[in-house]
Amino acid sequence: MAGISMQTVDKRFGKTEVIQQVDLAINDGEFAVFVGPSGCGKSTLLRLIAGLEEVSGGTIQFDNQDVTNLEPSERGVAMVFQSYALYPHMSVYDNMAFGLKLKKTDAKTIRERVQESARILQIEHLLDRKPKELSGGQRQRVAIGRAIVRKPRVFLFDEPLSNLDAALRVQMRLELKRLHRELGTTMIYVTHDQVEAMTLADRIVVLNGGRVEQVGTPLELYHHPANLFVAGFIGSPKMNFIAGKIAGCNGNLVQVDIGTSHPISAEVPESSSLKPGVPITIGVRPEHLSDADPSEGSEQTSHVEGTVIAVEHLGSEAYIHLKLNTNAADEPLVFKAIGDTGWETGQQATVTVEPGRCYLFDESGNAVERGH
Amino acid sequence: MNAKQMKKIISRTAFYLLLAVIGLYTVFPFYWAIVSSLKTGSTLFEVEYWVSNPYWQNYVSVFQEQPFGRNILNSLFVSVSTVALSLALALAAAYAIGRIQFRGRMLLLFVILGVSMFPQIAVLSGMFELINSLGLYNNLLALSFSYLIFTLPFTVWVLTTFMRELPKELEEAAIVDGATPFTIVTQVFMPLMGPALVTTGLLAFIAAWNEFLFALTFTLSSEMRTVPVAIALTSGASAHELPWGNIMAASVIVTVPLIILVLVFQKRIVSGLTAGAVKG
Repeated sequence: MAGISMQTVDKRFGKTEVIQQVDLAINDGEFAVFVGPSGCGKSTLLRLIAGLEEVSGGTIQFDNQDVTNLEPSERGVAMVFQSYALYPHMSVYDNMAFGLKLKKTDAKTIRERVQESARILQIEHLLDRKPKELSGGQRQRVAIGRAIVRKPRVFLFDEPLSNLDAALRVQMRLELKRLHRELGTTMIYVTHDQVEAMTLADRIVVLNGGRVEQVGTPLELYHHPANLFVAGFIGSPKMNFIAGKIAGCNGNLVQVDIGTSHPISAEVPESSSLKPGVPITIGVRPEHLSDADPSEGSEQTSHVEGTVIAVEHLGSEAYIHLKLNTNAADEPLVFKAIGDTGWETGQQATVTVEPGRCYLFDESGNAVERGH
Repeated sequence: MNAKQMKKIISRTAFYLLLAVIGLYTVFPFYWAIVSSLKTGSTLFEVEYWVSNPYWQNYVSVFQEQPFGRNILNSLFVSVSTVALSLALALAAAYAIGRIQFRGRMLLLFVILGVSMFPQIAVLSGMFELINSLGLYNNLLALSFSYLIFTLPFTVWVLTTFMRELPKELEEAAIVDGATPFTIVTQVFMPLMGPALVTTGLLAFIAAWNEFLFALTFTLSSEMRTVPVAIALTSGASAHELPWGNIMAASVIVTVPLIILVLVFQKRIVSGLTAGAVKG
């Protein structure tokens, strides 16, 4: 087990900077998830920690031990790959024992450890099979088994579930969580799927363009995204953004003019730093908008009107896409309606915006502090 | 019977006729060798497509009149060592060229291919000097080494292509498991490349087994000859008589090992020629 810290880590492939000046600390025993769009450098960052790629600058430490120039096996990492990467010609047992055999562990210890890991993963009955005789989920378990027999200091997972079907993915997710609880080892997990990130992580590291955008617990990122990128990336469907201008401030309420007849009110702890006339982006999550009767609600709630352009029914809920009645060519506003709603395309709709549910972002995309 | 069925039958017949012609064309010379080897000296020159009373003495005398057994062992030694050497070298080269990024590896690959462009006769005299200066003249090792000239280019090419297709993650998994490049090649890649090794090894074996020019030039005594040379230099009782019966018997004998090899490895050759993707 080990805590990991990285100082000003850079990685260049030729002239492309894939990782830029990353400072990051992952605590001992933590389940950290690297998440970001494809090409954001999350896999590269993982491979730098694994030692499969060399850093172009900066240092990596495991528990105050500088591992920057060590081989992967010397670092004591184990990695689970997206394609499982099992040795096709070896049985499940040999796949799991391979690393220990190379370390010249005695046969008895190898047998015990493989048996124990197989028991944890419930693959004892598969030990004599070849990888090609296994299903996708079973292969994934073997790949994880191969990692845990070596009792590594750090587990690294590179999008391990993306080849599995949806149902199996949910099951493996729970299992990984259980495994982490049982082993207590530091785990780093790379995914592009923000649902996986939210459900698995103790802390999420959001990456974009080779930089760390924000580090925090899943709910921190949900409630207090640091900037537009994180706000848009965390949450599904993604947050609505409406560009506007500050129309006026009143105590802890800010009026934002978005080109409709009425401005939208948003709540902030301190409005004095915001000047009228300054461009600002307002963000609202689809699940925080409601199609309740506009006449209800407090005085502070605002309303926006638009035309329904698409309805996505999921059964328990529906996502309704609205074209706002403004001149600006904004993206459609999406809101969530509970249950089996009667919305149809072409209808006029009015949605209610609670001031406390709004997120504000200044001109450079950074978040304005929120109260809660 | 309508026209469509008629057409189908005709094209079928034509297809099998074509197969029969090709089959006859390829097998007939060997059949003729078998038939000739079973004839006595005088009947050899009569055209006869079937031997009514086979004469086995040719198969005995070919071993009695010259060290033919020794020649077969020589050929086996040279071919096996050529195959072993070229596979070992090609495997190492293929790992370097196929899996490691370095400047000029495409150039290297084409230089290796370029080596096989030179006709054997063009490099013969230079080769002879080299063999002589190494003190390997009239030594079987001279043949093993010189045969690498034509076996290595294609073994390196085939194995490189094959090695490139092996998934990178497999290698990385082995690296994380603590494997050295040598372990990766021998314990992870080699078992997966079985079919490719068998196919290229067999082609190298056949090439070495049949080679004539180098074998003729680099050996002197009849005890050091390989079978193609031994057969070509078989002499009869007088200078004016060629012992065709012995020659044909010897030719049939030396074909047998190749046929056995192909039969043994048949399945693996097929999968080696078709195998592309290695799935985990």
